[in-house]
Amino acid sequence: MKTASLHEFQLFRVCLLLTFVAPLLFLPFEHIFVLPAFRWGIYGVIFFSVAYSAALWRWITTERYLPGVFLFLACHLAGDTLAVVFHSPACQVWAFFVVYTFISVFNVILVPWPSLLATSGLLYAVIAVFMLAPVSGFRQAAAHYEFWGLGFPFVLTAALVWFALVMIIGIAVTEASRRKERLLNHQVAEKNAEALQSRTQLETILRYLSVGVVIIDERLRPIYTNRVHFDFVPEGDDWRELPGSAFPLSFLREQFLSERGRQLLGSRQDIVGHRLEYTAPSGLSKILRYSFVAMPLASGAGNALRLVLFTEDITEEEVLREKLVHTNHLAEMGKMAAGLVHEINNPLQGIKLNLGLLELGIVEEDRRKQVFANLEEGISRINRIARSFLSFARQEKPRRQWTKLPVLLHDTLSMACNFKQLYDIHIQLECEEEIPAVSVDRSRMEIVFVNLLNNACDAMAGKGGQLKISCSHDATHVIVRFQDTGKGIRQEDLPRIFIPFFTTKERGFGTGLGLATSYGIVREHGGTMEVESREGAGATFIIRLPIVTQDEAGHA
Amino acid sequence: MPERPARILVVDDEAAIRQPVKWFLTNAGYFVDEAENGVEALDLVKISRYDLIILDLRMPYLDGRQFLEALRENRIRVPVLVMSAVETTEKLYLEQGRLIKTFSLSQLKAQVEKILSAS
Repeated sequence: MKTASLHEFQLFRVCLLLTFVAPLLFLPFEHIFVLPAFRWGIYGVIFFSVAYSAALWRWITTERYLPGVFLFLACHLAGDTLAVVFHSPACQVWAFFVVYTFISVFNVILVPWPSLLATSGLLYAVIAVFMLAPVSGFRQAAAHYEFWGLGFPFVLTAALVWFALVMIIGIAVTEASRRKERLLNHQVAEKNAEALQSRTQLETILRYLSVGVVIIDERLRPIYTNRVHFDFVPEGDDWRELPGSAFPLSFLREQFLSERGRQLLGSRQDIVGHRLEYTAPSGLSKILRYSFVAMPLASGAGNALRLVLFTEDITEEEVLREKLVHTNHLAEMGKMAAGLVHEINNPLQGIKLNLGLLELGIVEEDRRKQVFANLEEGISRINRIARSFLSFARQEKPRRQWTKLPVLLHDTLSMACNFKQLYDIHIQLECEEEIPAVSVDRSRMEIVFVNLLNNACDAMAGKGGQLKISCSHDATHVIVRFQDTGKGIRQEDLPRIFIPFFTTKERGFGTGLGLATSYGIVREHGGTMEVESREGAGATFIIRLPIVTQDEAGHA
Repeated sequence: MPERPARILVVDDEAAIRQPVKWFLTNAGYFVDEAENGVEALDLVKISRYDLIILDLRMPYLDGRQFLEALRENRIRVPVLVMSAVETTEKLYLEQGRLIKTFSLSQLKAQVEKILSAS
């Protein structure tokens, strides 16, 4: 049975009040205490009212319909019985009993509908008049009215008017409270619709994003996954269904439950979790990137941090990056070629002059040896330069190898120094002993080192200075630092230096690709690249490459 | 050719170039000094008079241009023959001629004679 609403209670209360007052108004006041039968009837009615009020009170305050109704019923019967038993003929007892039972049942069934409730109020009133009048002695009452010259029809008319009034007031009260309720309902519905709309909008946006989104709660269970995620991640991959798959969970625990993880959660940085390369059913090879971001998303208990996993298709990005690396490589080669001509010119000049001397035959005997030594030196220098250029120019497919970074640094530096005039720049390479090998693509890391060397040299050009290159390691990373004493980087440029085509060098001297490419390469190796610099106080580039065990890397 | 042998200073960090130039010009009858870089050359220029300086531009410590700047500051005027890898239209302070690498001994001789006879 539905719960009675507030306006129904109000209506019911009004009806009842009027019902019990009504018969009193129609009865001659001086008869009330004169006639014993009527007196007892009044006692019954008073008792009745008190019981009703108690029942209603309980009904209204608890807002429970059924218990209230039963109590109500019980009061009815008790009150009626009392009124009848004390001063009524037997037939009246039966009449009371039947009619009140009927009303009670009627009430139980119809109370939920306010208009019918009003009708029930009317019935109450009618029955009260016709039942109570005999109790008090109908004849006396009739005589009294006759005495006043009003007659019975008047009493009936007055009663009907009264009851009409009861109905009008009841319905008015009901309607007022219903209107209020409707308004309230309307507002609630509007709010709900708004919430629903924004939710629908969000879901639509999430559905049509070109990024897979999985929201993960603090117990590492996915609570929302958009379709794109499933579109992207191939069947059978651990990352498709996050729960139950061991790898992501252990990865997550490692990343987020560790100290570093918590720091990251605090600072809301993203963590690139995983890269997946696979061949789609269409035959195209795809590259996916999974990254995690911690976000304060609202939950029932306030703002709780949630992990959000983004799945992105970075195939195109990777192709572009590959091109960028290649472009940078070409640019670097172009610069090197220019340097190459310059550098080869000097030994060539030496060879030419020394040969000239020999040709003219003006070389004294003790100098002959020196002339040939000069020739020899010139030729082997050209040879060395050509060979190192070749090794740089070879564009190879990315291929990772276990590499000792200090060795790679040393090789790269000695190669690069063949091309560059580093007279005023003192380069110092300091490496810790026992640096763990890292899995890197040597030719790419070479590009990174050459780029950093170039930048350091450019920053110190004309003034000279010191470039300190160091290689060290901690528990998780091998760290390479390039620390120069050059002109440094302006604060406003700092955030942009890793953006492609951003350069502060003069036109024709920089492509703006060096650092962007280097950054890309280091990220590709799962590492990070940072810069610390103050204008005029040199710059330090710090590269961190993760130490992985051979098992983890999955290749020997 | 003047009665007194002309004094020439060869400035280049590359021994393989400096030496043959010196030997060749000495053989041709000039009095030749050599310097490995701009700093050395500046010291020499301050203590003795030269008729010609043969100067390489790319050198450590004090390169060709900086050396010429130093000459300007010290108000020393000596004709200069520049050796450089690239051909440009720029004319440096005191520059009287330019040899583009790679040049031959005969080109060197011609330039030296031209500048000395002019001065």
